[in-house]
Amino acid sequence: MEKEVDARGLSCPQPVLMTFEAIQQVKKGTITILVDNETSTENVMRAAQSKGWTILAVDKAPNGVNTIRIENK
Amino acid sequence: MTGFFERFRKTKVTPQPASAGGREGILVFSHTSEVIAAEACLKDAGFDVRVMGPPPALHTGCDLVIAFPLILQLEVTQALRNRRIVPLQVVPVDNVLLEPVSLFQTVDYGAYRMVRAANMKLTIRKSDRTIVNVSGGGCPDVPYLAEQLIGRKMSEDIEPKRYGKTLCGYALQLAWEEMNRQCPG
Amino acid sequence: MSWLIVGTVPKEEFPLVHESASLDKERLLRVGPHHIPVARGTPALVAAAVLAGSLFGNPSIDVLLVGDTGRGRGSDRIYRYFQTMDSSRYEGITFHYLQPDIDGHNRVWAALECNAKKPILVADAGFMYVAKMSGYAAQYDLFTPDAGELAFLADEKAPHPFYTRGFLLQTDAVLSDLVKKAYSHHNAARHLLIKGKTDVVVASGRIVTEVSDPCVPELEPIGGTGDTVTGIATALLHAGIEMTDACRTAAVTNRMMGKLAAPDPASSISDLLRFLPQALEREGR
Repeated sequence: MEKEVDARGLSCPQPVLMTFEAIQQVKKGTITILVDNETSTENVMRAAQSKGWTILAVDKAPNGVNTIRIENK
Repeated sequence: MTGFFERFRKTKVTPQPASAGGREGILVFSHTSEVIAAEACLKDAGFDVRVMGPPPALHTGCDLVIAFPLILQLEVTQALRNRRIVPLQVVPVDNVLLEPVSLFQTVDYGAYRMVRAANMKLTIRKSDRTIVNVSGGGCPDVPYLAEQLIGRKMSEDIEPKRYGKTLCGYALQLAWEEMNRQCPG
Repeated sequence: MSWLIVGTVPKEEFPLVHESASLDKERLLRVGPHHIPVARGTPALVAAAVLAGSLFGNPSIDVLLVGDTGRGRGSDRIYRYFQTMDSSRYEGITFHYLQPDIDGHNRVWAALECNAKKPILVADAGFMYVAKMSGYAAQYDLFTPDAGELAFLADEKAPHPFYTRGFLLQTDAVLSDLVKKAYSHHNAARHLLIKGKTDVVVASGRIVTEVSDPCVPELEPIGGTGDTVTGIATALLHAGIEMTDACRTAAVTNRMMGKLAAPDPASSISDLLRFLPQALEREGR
């Protein structure tokens, strides 16, 4: 299962809350999270790892939008 | 409702009158609760004693000692013995002792008033002097004190020093005394 | 990994328990077979951590609690127990209402030093006092003092807030000066969340964020409102949120919880806690 979470324009704790919500829905699969600042990027990555998900990739675009892909097999 | 500091009072603790060189001694107890009991005993007996902080060498944590004019040592220890209160040590003091806080802050909330002493805050409903909240502090007797006091009126015989066992409890007693002064029954 | 909250319950006969805590339908704190009212103190901190944690998929949290009404016997049991337990399984530990006893603190510290990696260390209330008294303040990750306790941290001579010297408690004492003094004497944790009319987040001696809104003056006299900020911060740290973000969010959320509850100075923290999930869900939108 795949899901995208758009947390751009939102500040703490929303990106993490939305990530956790997606983790609960997807359970196994891949989730892509969009954020627009470094702190949210780190928060989302730590949050995902705390739930046992793996960070597949973090792409940082020149416009400041970071795309984090996480997976749980 | 107003939310600003309305009263600001500072009182200085004055030193004991000089006598035989003005030397002070301190009574050290194993627990702050015993200090509170000993202070009450000695003040009842007419001694002008002060609770203070111990010298650094005697710090263990939540500490209070009683300072008294050294020349009265015999009478002081006898008064305590009569009440079966036994200090761990009685020592002369050469260093400056820490003074308890003597600064209070008051906030008026319209129907309520809050007085803060050190880290403790006491709030009453002004109309009937009912204690409505106790906040602040960090020593374990604070939640216990709050349970004993909240809902009761300041006119009742329930001063915090009856229940308090720590410095936070003593600070609440100071807040109580200041509140009594500001809002007498 | 999990998180541990260490503190006391105001019933001398309450046994030492080291278990998972959750909230039951009556909003009592459930710890093993025990049901603890949430009125203030450590139960309020734990309740806030559980409520906030629920939104992050952490509806329970480990607690190490004992009964202590100020004699210090209960706290002493916790200090001794801590030496024997495995604290390495915790990502973070929040220490709260405990008897300030230097020997007790040092027992805890010795146990923590045995871990290959120290957990995130948060201290408030009595344990924050004794961390400073013992000279270990700078080893902690977060202290959550109120304005008066900040003055205590700034006073290098005061072993307890009771002895904070008057000039530091003056209402016109400048907060940034107090912060500077606290750090210059190594009497502050790496981060501070200072609770007051304006909540201030400090990192390594530098003020990074100030929070003044929403302004709810009635929160100050209500017992437990400082404890809930620390509880919310605990839940956010447990969820992996970065420290200064967690502190700022905890401060705003606590205020919003207060605003939604519309309390008066006679309100109880349990009246406010029912609004915590709503406050947290609104924050950041």
